[in-house]
Amino acid sequence: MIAINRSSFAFGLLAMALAGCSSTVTMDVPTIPAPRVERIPVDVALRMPEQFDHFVHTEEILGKEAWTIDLGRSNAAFFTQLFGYLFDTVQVIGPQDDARDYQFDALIEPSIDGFEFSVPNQSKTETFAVWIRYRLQVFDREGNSASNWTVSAYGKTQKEGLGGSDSLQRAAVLAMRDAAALIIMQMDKATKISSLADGPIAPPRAETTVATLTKDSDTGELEAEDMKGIFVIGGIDDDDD
Amino acid sequence: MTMTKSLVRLRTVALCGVFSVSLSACVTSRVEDARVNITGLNDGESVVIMAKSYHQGNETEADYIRCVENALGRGSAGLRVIPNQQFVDSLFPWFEPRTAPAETKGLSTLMKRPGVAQAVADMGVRYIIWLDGDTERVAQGGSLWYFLPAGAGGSDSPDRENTDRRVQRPGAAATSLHSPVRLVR
Repeated sequence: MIAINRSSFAFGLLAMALAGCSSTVTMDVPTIPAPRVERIPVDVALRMPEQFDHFVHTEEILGKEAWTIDLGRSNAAFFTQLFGYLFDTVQVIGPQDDARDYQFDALIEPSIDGFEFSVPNQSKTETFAVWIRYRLQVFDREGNSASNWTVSAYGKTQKEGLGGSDSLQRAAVLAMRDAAALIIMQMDKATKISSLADGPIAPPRAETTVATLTKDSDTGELEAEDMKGIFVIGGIDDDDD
Repeated sequence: MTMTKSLVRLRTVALCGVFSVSLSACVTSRVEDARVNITGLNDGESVVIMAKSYHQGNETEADYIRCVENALGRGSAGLRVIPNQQFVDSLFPWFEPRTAPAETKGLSTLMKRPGVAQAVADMGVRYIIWLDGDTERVAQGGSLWYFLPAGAGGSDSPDRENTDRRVQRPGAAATSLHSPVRLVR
């Protein structure tokens, strides 16, 4: 009887020790406030990638602990809400849906290019920090690529409580708010998405590329002509509209 | 608002800061100096306490902001304080860490944005006070060195009223606080 109790006690201690080596944070669905900006007059289709259904990221701190953050569907909810505030109309379509079955001015495909976070043991500070890099690909109604924009966002919180799970979650929410602020302020400037309300890019990009290749392949002008993707990382341009 | 009330209020704020640091660092501190001016706040007018952006390296703790908010609003002569988060949410995305104006001159541009001036007016905000600072551990014994310089801005107006406030807080364990607060009407 005593041996059994000792085994149970040892097992309990082992379980506690193991539990102390890893932490999992599950994100609640974030909400962002209604922004004080005018909507962009564009009808948008928003295609959610599969990674937005269940995004999990783990950081292992060598010899110490592992932290896992489960974003679940928070990114899908985030972009649905954000673009709902930002554009005239938004219809959400799934990764397998055929965009030709829908009517829109612009199709936006967001994705996560990078996700990192740091915990106090790593940074040697009492803070949690989260970095998210989103990519927003914009297409016209014909499927031509109109823009390819990356958005780098950052959130940081002080450690509160014993575990820090709430602090990490809060840092992730702040990073998403940071992304929202940047997207709201720079979306049209960076992607020229409002011009797509006037019609698709003309002539269709694929045909233009082939024609230009045939004609100017020796001059190298194709590359310059075809690089319409916009690449912007962070920062706010203070120029007024 | 009288000079005496402002003095009491500022002392309350300073003491609150001292108290919070004392609790976390187990040190004893006291207010060395306080200078005040008349705020000119009228009935229905309010203030907001903001942390300077961590995008600019600031590490003002949220607890400290809440402490100052509570201290300013306390008592029969307390100021009307709009909670920081409520203000930031109401004006999203213009006071996020990335977008908040770093200088007072940025406020006049911000106030021209759609709905911003109206939202500020609806909340009766007359002063926006920015705090920034950081906490640095200087000894294993748990003592803290706390530095809190603060700048502030307010709604844009031709007449300006600047107030410099400086609170020094030398403590028994090398704890000090510098808090010059400039209020711009």
